[in-house]
Amino acid sequence: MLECVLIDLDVNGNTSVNELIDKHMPFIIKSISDVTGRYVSCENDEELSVGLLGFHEAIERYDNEKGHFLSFAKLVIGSRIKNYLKGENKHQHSSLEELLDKGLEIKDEYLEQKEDNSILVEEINMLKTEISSFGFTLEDLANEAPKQQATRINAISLSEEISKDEEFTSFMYVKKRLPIKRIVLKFSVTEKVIKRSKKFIISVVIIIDKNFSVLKNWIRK
Amino acid sequence: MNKGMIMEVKKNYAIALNDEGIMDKILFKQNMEVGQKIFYFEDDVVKATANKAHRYNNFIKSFGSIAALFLLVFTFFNTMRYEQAYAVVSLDINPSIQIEADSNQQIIKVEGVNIDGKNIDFSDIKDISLNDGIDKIKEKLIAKNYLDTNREVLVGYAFIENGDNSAYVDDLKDAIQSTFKTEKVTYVKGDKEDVNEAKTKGISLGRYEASLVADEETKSKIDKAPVKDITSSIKDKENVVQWQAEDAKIADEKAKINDAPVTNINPEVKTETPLKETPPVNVPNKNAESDINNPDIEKEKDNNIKPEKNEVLVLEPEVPPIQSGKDETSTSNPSKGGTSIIIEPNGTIENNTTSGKIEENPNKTPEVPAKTDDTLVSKNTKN
Repeated sequence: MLECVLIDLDVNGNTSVNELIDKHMPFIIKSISDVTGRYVSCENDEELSVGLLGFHEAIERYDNEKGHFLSFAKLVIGSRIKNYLKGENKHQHSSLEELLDKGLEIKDEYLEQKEDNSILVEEINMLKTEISSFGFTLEDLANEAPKQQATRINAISLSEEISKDEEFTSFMYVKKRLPIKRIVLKFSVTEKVIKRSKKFIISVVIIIDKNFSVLKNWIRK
Repeated sequence: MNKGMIMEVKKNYAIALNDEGIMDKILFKQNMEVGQKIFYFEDDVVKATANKAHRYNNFIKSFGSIAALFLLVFTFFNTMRYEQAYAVVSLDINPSIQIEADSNQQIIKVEGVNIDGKNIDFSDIKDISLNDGIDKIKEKLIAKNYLDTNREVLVGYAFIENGDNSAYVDDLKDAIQSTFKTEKVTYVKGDKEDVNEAKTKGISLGRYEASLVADEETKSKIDKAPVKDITSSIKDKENVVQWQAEDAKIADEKAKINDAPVTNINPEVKTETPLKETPPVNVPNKNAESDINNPDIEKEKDNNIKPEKNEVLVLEPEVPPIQSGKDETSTSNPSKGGTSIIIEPNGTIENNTTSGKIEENPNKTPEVPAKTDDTLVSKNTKN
């Protein structure tokens, strides 16, 4: 029961089920991921919703004699996910009618997603080619992008400023580097900041300048 | 927990752009696609630095192991080569000394074989040439006064590997000859098995070789018998080459020069003795045997020659150790003798001019003649 769960987790007695679920979202996702051995996709909520249902079921069926709630919940989520995966397999091998019904349904979703993805993939590939013309790869970017949020936000806002200035962007595309001196003069930032995250700045400028909307939205989120 | 968009999928990891604008490397899991939006956790993030360090480590490790392997292999081969003696030379004066040398005539090891030999420290004689090494050994012997009483040197030598070692033998004999000028030197040749046999018996190679040919009395006490006794008992045996001390030679020198032409030597025919010095040694035998095989006229000549021969102690030519010496010599010599007799003048002239034997021939002593005569005579009579 919810009360038992609240006692076990030692949280405020007034917490609602929704708040509890919200709080334990990472736990649910982790449990699902552990069972499936895959990353849980944000779009494909099938697994996620099954997991949420499992979590909810766990809350309903829990009492203090069953040990810690979280381990119990993990167990329940795990078995629900397994059942779901099995059921999914069975469906694929079930009657033609059912398959057509389900298949159509799935296909629609799939198509939607595919379209969504294709733009994104295209943007990602374009970004890749762009930055490779600047002499670095996504991997370098992953290694060198500023880890501190403040630095990153600074770099992103600086990149936005730069991308607004036609002079700078054209220089960047021609010379394949940032006009560091002029940026320093114009935006009164230190050279160190730019040099340290120049690859990150370049890629953000490209994303903004080329208007990779999906990526842009993603970053701004 | 992070929400990320997969930007690139590689073999072992993927790059995800999370919603804060950070690129993360995350572990590869099934069904990953570029553009997929996923939830991932800190556990899944591959630490870039750790990865780098790992790679670096790997490189160091592999490089290190390769280097270690090379080190091992080369040291192994080195020690192998180090232990592989090419030639074994033993010196018996009173201390018995055994020298191991490699194919470049560099001394690998010098050790004493009997008690006297073991009392001398040879550890500093190493990695130098045979010539220098033997010089040093002599210095040590002189320092310990061994050469005051013993004027005879018994040299045993053997090659671990078969093949043409005549040049090596030449150099070896030169080295010993130049060092022990004032001693009587007796050479005996052995082979690989003899070296091992001598080692198991705990005597020097020279003594072992001597024991093979010596009479019973000497044989029984071969490990203790004075070198002088040994050399005298084996001097007329095959496989033995003997040399006289230099001072004795000088007296004979004049006579030698006259005799030189008479001694017929066919160096080309010679089988095992490439030494300049050896030819004279062999001459008597040839002559003797040729005499045996040839008419009386030749014998007369031989008689004339004998005095000259007397200087030479060794009666028989060197024969490869494996072959049974006497048969060989007797079969091969007749032909040699015959040729030598026929071409006498030419042969002698050639020898004199080419090998400069005149100087060498003198190396003979008055001391031995009687004995050699006897032996010759006995042989003649036998035959």
